[in-house]
Amino acid sequence: MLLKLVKISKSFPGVQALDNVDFDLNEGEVHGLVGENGAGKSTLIKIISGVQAADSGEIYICDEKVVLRDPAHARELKIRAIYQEFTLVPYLTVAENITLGDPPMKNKALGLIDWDKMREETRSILNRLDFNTDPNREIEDLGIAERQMVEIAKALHGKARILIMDEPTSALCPKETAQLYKTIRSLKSEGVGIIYISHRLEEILEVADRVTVLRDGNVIITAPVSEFPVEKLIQHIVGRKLQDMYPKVHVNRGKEVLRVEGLTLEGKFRDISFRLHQGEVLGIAGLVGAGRTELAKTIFGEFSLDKGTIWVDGNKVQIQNPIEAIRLGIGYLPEDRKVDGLVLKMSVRHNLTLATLDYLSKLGVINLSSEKSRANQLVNELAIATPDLNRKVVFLSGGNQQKVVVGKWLSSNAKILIFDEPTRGIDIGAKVEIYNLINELVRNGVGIIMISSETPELMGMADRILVMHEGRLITECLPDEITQELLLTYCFGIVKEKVTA
Amino acid sequence: MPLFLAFLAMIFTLIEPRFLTGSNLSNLLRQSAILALAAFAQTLVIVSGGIDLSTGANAALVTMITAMVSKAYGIPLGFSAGLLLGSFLGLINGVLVAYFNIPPFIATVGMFIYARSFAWYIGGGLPIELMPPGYEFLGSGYIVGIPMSIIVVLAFLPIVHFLLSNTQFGRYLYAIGGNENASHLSGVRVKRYRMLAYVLSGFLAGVTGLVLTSRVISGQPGIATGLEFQAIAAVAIGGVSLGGGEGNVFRAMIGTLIMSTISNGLNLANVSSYYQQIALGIIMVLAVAIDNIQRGRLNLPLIHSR
Repeated sequence: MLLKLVKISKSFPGVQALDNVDFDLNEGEVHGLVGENGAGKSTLIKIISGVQAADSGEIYICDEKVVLRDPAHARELKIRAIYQEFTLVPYLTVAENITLGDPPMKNKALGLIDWDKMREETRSILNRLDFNTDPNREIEDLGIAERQMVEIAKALHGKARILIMDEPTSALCPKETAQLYKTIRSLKSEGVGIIYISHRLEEILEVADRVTVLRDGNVIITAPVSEFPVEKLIQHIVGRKLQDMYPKVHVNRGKEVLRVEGLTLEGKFRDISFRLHQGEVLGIAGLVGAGRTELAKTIFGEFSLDKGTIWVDGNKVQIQNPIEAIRLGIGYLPEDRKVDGLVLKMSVRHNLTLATLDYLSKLGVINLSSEKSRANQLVNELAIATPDLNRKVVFLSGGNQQKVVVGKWLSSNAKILIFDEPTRGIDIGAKVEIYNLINELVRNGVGIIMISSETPELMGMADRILVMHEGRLITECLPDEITQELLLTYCFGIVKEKVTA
Repeated sequence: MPLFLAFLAMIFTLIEPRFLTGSNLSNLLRQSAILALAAFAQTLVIVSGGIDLSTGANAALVTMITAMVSKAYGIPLGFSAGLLLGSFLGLINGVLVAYFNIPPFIATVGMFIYARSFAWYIGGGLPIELMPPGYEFLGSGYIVGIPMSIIVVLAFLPIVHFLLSNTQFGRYLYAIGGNENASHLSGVRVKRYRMLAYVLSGFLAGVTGLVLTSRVISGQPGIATGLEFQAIAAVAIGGVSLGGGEGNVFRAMIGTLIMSTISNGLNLANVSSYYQQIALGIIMVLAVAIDNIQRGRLNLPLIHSR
C-alpha cells in the first residue's frame, strides 16, 4: 500500500471539511476522486501534500506512519501535486520551471547550475509526454494548454511516487488529453500511484481503476470503476437522483435577433455566417484554438473585424467596442470568470450593476437605493447564495460567481447572450442551475450562443450546433440527429458528408 | 486603525499632558491639513490601481504660478490659475497613463521632476514674495474661530467620499483598480475614467498648493518636498490597499491623523526631527505589515478553500 489515510478529519470555522475520511492508494493505481465543489477534495489533497495539517487521523506512506510537516517534507517523500492554478514563473524558461525545485547542479556549494544537464533532463521528460516544445522558451510565450503540459512535466521531474492531479485536463484539447492518458499509463507501469481529480466523469471512468466519491466531507463510496455507470456515479455525487442532467426546454423560436455574414478576423477565423433567433440556444463546438472565443469577442466589439457584416434585430450595425455591444443588447459571459468576468474585490451588488450604472444614475450620481433593490431582485431571481449584497464575490462558490456574471447581463436587459464555456470548473449541482437559468432566459425570448468544449453539454442544451475548426465554420448539426462521437469527430475537422444547415 | 489613533493619543497624553489641550489639537489639525489634501488626491489614484508621485512638485509649481498671477492680476485670478494648473498637470499624467500606457510610476515621476524644475526655473531660483493683502486668508485665516485650512479639509472630505461612493466615476475607479479586463468587458470606459482619476488628483494637488502658498504668503519652489511619499504613507497606514480596488477617503484621513499625531506628539516630547522621521518610516511599514497579516486571516477561506 503506497498511501493510506485513516479517519482523517479537518474542520474550518463553521464547516467540517473532512469527517473521518479513509482513503488509500496502491502502487501503479489511478484512484479517481470526485465530488461537488466543497465536498472536501481540495482539503484532502492539501493534507496529502502537506499544505495543511489534519485535525485528527493518521497517514501511512508505504505502511509507515508519517506526520507531514510542510509541502517540502511531502516532496521529500516523493509526493507531487499538479494544481488547477498554474504555479509556473512566467519569465523563466520551460526547462527552468520544470526543474525549479531541484535544478541539476555543477557545483552545489557555489550554487552553479548545470544548464546542459537541465535542458537534457527537460527534454527527456518532454519526450515522455510526447510534448514537443523548446526547453528554452519562456512560459510567457506559451498558451494555456502548453502551460498545463509544462505543469505536468514539472511534477514528473524527480521521480514522484505519489502524483496528485487536480483537473489536469481542464485546459487541454482532446489530443493532448489522449497524450496525458498515455503518460498516465506509462507512469502506472512504473508503479507510480496517481490520485486523479476531475469534474469530467467520463474521464474518471476512462482513466481510473478505482473511484472515491466525497460528499460534504464524507466518503460516500469507494469502488472499482467497473461498478459505476455514469448515472450511478452522478447519483452518488449529488446525493439525489438526477432525472436528467440537461433539463432542456424547447421554446418556439421567435424572430431573428442576430445575423452575421462573412465575419473574418485575420489569423483567427474567416467567413463565418450564422443567424440567431429569440428563444434559441445556438451551440458552438470546436477544439481549443478553433477561434470560438475570438469570434464571440469580435461580436462583442472587443476585436474589430477585418471583414463581414453584423445585423442586430434586422439592423445593420457596426460594433466598435463593448459599450456599443451592450447598448445593442449583447452580453458576453467570458470563459474565465475571474480574469474577465468579475471584479473579485467588489461586492455582489456592485458587480451585478457594473454594466448598467448608466440606467441607475442621473448626471453621474448613482441612485443607491434603486441600485440596491435592483441587485436584491437579481439575487432572488437567480437564487444567488450569498449572505448579503455586500459580500465580496471572491468569497462565493464558482457556481454562484457565474450567476453573478449572468445577473450582470440580465440587469442590462440583454437579448443576445454569449456564454463562453459557461460551466467550466463548476460542480454538477451548479451546472444544472446554470442550465435552468439558460432555460429561463430562452423562455423570456433571449437568444443564446453557447460556446462549449463539453460535447454532452452541447448535445443536451443546444437547439442547433455549429462546429468550428481552425477558424472556419465546417458544419451545422441538430443534436437529435447526431451522436456525441460524431460531434467530436467534426470538432477534429473530419466531416464526411455535409449535414444540411 | 481608529483604535490605534486613540491609543497613540492616549500614550502622548500620558507622556505630555499638553497634548490633549484645545490649542494643541487645533494646531495638530492645522498641520495635518496639507497632508490630508494630498492623501485625498492619492486615494483617488490608488483606488484606480495607480499611483501619483507628482503631488508635492505639482503643489510647489502651483504656489509659484498662483503667487505670480495674484501679484499681476489679483488674488481671484491667481487662485483660479492655481487650480487650473493643478488639474492640467494631472491631465498630462492621466493622458500619459491612460492613453499612452506609460506606467503610473514613470509618468508621475517624470512630472515630479519637470514640475519641480519648472518651479525653480520660473522664479529664477527664488521665491515670489510681497503678496497683496488677504493672500494669507486661506492658509491661516479663521471663520468663526475655525482655521480656514481645516474648513477646506472638512469640505473636501465629504466631497471626495461622495465621488467615490455615490457616483459612476467613483464606482468605476474601484472596478478598474479591481479588474481592468472585467470592467472593460462590462462597458466601462476604462481609459477615460483612469485619466479622470489623475485629473482630480492634480486638482487636489492644486488645492494643496493654494493652502500652502497662502500659509507661507509666497510662492516657494522648494516647498512640499516629499509630500507625495508622506501622503502614500498616510494612505497605506489608513489601510487603503496599494493594490487598488479598495479603500476609502476616511481611511486616508485616519492615516493622515495618525502621522500628524505622531509628529506632533514627538515634537511636544522634544524628540529630534531625525528620530521622528525614523519613527514614521518604521510605523508605516509596520502598519502595512499588520494590515496584511489581518487580511491574510480574512482571506483564509479563499486561499484554503476546500
